[in-house]
Amino acid sequence: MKQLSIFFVWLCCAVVAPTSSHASDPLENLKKFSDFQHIDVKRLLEGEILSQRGPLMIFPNGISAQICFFVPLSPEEVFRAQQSWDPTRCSSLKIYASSGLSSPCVPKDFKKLHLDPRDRPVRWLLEKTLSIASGKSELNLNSGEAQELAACAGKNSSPDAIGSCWARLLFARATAFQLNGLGGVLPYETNGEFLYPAVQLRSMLQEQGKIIQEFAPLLQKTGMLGKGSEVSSLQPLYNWSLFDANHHATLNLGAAYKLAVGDHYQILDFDYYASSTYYAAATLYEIWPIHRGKKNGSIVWRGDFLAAPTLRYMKGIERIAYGVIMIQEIKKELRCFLDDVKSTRP
Amino acid sequence: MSRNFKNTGVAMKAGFINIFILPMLLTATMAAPARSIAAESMAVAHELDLELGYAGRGVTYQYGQNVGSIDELVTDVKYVLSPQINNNLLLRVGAEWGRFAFDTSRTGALPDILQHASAVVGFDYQVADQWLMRTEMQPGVYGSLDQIGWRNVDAPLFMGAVYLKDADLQWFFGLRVDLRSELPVLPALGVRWKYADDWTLDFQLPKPRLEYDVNDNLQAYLGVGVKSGTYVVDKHFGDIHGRPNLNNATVDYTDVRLGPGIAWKIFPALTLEAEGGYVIYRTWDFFDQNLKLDSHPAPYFLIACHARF
Repeated sequence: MKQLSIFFVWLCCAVVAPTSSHASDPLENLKKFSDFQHIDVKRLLEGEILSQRGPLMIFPNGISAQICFFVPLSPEEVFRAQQSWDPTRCSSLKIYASSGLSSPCVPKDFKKLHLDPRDRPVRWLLEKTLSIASGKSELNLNSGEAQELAACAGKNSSPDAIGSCWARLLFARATAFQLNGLGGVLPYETNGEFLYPAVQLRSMLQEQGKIIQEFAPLLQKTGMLGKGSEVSSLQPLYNWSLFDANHHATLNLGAAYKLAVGDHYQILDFDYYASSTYYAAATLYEIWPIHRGKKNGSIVWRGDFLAAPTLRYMKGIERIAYGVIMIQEIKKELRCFLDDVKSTRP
Repeated sequence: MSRNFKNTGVAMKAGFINIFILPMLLTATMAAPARSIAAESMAVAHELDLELGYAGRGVTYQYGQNVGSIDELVTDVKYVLSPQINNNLLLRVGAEWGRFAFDTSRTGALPDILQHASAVVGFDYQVADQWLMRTEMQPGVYGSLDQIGWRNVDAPLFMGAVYLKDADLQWFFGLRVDLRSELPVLPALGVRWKYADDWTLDFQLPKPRLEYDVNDNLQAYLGVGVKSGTYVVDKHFGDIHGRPNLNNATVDYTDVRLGPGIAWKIFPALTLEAEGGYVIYRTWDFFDQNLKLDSHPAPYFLIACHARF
């Protein structure tokens, strides 16, 4: 533990130290902490998205994957493009709504939240919301939220009214997170047990020793490492979205933190709330500038970590298949993003 | 960025084997440190499948002559242990016992029992980014098994590959190799396509189905089930039926069922199935003795239990 503390101090010093004199070699860096030990730069620059399915975790609900790709933008531009990207334009992603949140957030941040019962996955969410009153809830809620949501939906069970009920719940959760960081994230209650999204995220990350080392400054500053009861010293960008996760309409709340480390960036983008289907998710990014011949841009590594209840029961070949499909879905999203980037470049 | 990768609902049912690789893999497995097998319960998967079915009386013909109405009781138990050897390789070790019991007439050359008891040896392997393969061999004894001899020993091989296009579309390629059968090599192509939120076309042999998700735990389906196997009957089977040429003869048994069913996920790791319908095709083919018996359609009912833990 002491050694770990020393390591963190050393890393923090390294971060604040002048860095202009040493530009990092992304490929060497990648080898140090990622599963990519041999990278064909030519393939990357030609637009191939490289992927590695993560190893089996001890944490039973968790699964991970690593992706590496090239973006013809500088690291700063990549970050800005990511945060301003509108995924709803890509219909294959089945994202109904996605929006940023102001800080502090206000109820009207959720004005795009509209539950259209013509979509089967949305109808599922509406039905599950209405069934809370009967005590059978498959949604990620605590008992107080369940009571409030049941009472709210009981007053008016129209899809618009239920959408407003959810907006209120999301607003309360987002406000608590903005005030108290991960320490303000309320647990879900399932079968009388409390399940903390932050604990799920930490459990997954703790199995990734090299990645934790690489991202130690960022993870420390965001409260992801340690007790996480304090508010982050970094100012994140907040967001929410409504999307189809495994044919279930799912609402989530997320936050993205950026840290400049020398000539490159580290980003932590995580969901601290999901209404169903999964418990929590985090994506770590490291974005380096790269200059090869006439190609200028960024090499992006991302590590995805997902905690979902079904994973506990998914073993053997099913789990491998789940990992493969998870990567395909990430790639689908990335291709949409990269297509948008290319189409908006002068 | 969005979180669409959570759209990873998978209902993999790989049904499938490289015989040349197998001994190498087994050697590698035994040489591997025990930690990968023993340490984590997550690294070992268990599959238990139980099936019990009854098919009502179907008028059966031999050379066009009615030899009576035959009913059938089907029992199958299969257990497979699947330890993860490394990130891409899973071993498959287990056993299966399957039995067809027929209420036979005296006039037809029909065996009372066709059954097999076999080991299951194979592996699952991620071949490439989107390709998984399964190789499974079932060495064991196949026949009436009143008397077991070397002629009863067989080792059918199942090889399959799946191409995982995305969460909603997967392609399957399979091959069954049984050198004793009239069709020693039988290829198959399948697809699992979730084309709507509630509907899935799961066209995979031997159980292609059209599935409808009633809710998260209940599924209704209309499906076809193919049951088949190659067996060797007893050395006195022909004498008993007045056809000495059928002593120790090889018979290909095949039946094809069509009917609706339901699958109920009682627990996340346990699914019960019940289905009924008609056995639309049933044949006993002593192909090397030019004798074939077949049945008229008959109703059937089947219950099954699938546990994954």
